[in-house]
Amino acid sequence: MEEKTRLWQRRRAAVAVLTLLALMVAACAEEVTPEPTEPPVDTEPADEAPPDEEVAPDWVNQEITIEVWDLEVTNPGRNAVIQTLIDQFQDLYPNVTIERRTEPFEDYRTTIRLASTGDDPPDLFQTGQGHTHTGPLVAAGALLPLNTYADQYGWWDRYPEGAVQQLLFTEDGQDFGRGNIYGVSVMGELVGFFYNRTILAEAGIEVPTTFEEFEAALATLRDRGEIPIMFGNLDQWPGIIMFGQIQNVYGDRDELRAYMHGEGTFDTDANRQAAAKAQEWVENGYFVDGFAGLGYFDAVSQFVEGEGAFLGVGGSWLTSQIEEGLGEDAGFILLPPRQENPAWGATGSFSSPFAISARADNPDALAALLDFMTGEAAVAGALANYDIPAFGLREEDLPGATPHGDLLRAWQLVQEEDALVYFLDWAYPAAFDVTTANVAELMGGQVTPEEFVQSMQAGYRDQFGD
Amino acid sequence: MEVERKSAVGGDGITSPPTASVPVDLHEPPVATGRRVDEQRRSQFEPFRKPRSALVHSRWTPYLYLAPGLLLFGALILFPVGRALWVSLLKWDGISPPQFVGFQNYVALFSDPTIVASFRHALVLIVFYSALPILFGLILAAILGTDRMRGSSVMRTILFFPYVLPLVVVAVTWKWIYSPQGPLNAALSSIGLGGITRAWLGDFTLALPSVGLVGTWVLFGFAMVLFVAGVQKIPQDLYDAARVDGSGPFRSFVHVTLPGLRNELLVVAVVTVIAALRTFDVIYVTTRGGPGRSTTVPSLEVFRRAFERSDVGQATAIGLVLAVLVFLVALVVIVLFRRATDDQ
Repeated sequence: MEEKTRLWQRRRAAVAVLTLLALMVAACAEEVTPEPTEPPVDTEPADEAPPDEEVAPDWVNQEITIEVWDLEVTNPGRNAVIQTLIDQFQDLYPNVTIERRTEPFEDYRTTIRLASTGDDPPDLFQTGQGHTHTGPLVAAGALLPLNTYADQYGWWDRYPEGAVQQLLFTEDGQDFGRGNIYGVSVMGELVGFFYNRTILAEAGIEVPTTFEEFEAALATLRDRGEIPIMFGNLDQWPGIIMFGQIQNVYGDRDELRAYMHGEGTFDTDANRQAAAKAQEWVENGYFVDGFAGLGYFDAVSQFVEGEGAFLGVGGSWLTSQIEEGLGEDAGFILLPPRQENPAWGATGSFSSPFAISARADNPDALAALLDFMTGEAAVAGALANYDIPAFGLREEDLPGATPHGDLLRAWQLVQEEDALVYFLDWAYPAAFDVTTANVAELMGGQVTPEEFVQSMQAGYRDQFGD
Repeated sequence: MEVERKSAVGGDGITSPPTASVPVDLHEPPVATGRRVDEQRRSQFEPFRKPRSALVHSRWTPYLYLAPGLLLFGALILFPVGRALWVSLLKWDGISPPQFVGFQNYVALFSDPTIVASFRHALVLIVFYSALPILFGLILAAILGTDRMRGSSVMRTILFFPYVLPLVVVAVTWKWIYSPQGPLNAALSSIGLGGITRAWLGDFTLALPSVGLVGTWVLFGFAMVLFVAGVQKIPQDLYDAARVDGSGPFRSFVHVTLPGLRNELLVVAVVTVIAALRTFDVIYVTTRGGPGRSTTVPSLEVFRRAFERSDVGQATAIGLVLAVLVFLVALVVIVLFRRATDDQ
């Protein structure tokens, strides 16, 4: 009797185990690839004649609903600008209804990937630049190439050539910086150093205009017991930008952009010099004590409260906070170039561009909206919100000697020189990871400049080969 | 033991099943009286049977009872795990068609120094998330567990509070505490230890222990509460007996309290070790794995590769290896405990 029970128990156990295994195998065999996105209906925009004065495009006469997604909610200024532009467009074209959805950047980044490649993608949405944010979307065929519209609306003439490259990707999503244009941006970003006029004046320092003057100022400030550069790298990403600025002072802008586009190399003398200089600044005590453990925004708050002569990684996104905290007591400079290096670069870029879905119903209408949002209509809003418009800034718009005014003048200079070289984490998908870790180790004195350069180059080679 | 058995046989009618009219003493060897004795014996121990219902008494009945649970288990656990196994064999960015690459992700996993380091860090965190909370929990249970101290139950509530807080809140607060101008450095300076103040979370050597201590702070209350409950189950007679035998408080603790807490110790050990291995929130909010890579942990690497590097296959592989590691470590803990307690 007992033996029979045991036999049955064993058989039942076997059945149970087989059922479980079957379930797991079924799961494995389950179709895992996502529903393939349909190939774009039009790889070229429709064959409609470009609108000229006599013939209005079809969409002007139709009732259209457009879905716009963006990530600008976190910055109240930008949030307001986008909303204003959308409202203005709806006023101009009453037949168009625009539904806007906005999320913070962290959430948006993951949502947009699935949404734009899913069943019901939004029509116009912000992407990003580079491999992390945009490459996969291009490769998945989610974005409409905008070349015809760029010709039609004259977008190529708006921006300097080097700056435009950040909007380009090859059709397979593999090469960043050339190929089709997939988006246009409303705003710009620029990074430099905000400075505290009072502290500089008390130290008898003039606002530096060359790299040598800047270093001399740092030394003087440190000797007087002031904090030369207020800077917080606990979040790790500011380090990328801080290093990037020093790198730009030593490097050539075309070579730096080539690196971003996967066609360059990190193993250059300029980068070795920059790495050594970054370590030198740390060893000289030019950064606030304990910067490796200080949060970025905590550092900004301390600067606004009057600590620190220069604010490291002073990005244009901080302008409103600086203006409201210090007002005209603050100013802005780019990290000044070295006189021996006329081909200097500047850390900055356009803001996240808006792209058009490859499966959108009304690409012509969307292109018109895009042209409107990124055109001169954005300038007023940008100026009112301490921001940088990507295009359309005129001399008479510039405010006076305020942080914002300094920032805008710096932007104009950078655009005249076509010196934008973007951000180091755009170079390849793992670039953020690799660069943050390497820079933290460099500035923490854990590696030599040579090791740093080799480590960065190894990460680059992993992605692109030699 | 003899006492218990006799009461089951002789029966007072309350604790034992209905007895036959002929009392049977199991201590005597069975008499060869054939079927009638067997029937009587069986009828003593089997409940009265109604006529068989096909459904209730079929041999598949147990499975029918298990079916809803099994279905949920299959759908929520087995199916995702199976799918994860499949995805880990792919090179996939999450939206484009994937590419089958076999075990390449696993090979890369074991040869990538960052990922290997992340597992090492997770094991180090076991000391902070598990060993230290157990130690503190035991000490506090010994002090506060017996309600002899005034306000001990209030103290226990306060000390349990960190475990209840959302981890993100905890992490943000500790990030402030550890900041260079934060309260920790201020406190150290005020007692003359200004020399050791530093950027705790920015120090390549001290960042991991600093983050680990956050985990200790969260989990020691949990350990304490469980040990207190366990201590209150230990009969006072045992302590009295120990005192009579001449043992002081420490020896009572080692020879009475600790053995009495073995089940609680097992639970706390398993829970805290698992918490250590799969920690994410605290690291993500405080250091993001930095400075450099000195505090990265497997779950952070999973997040990074899935969402920042668009390498979902690799991320899944790391996740599965972590799951296996958690399972193995928990198994080791349980086996060690069983072996240690079998000696009692």
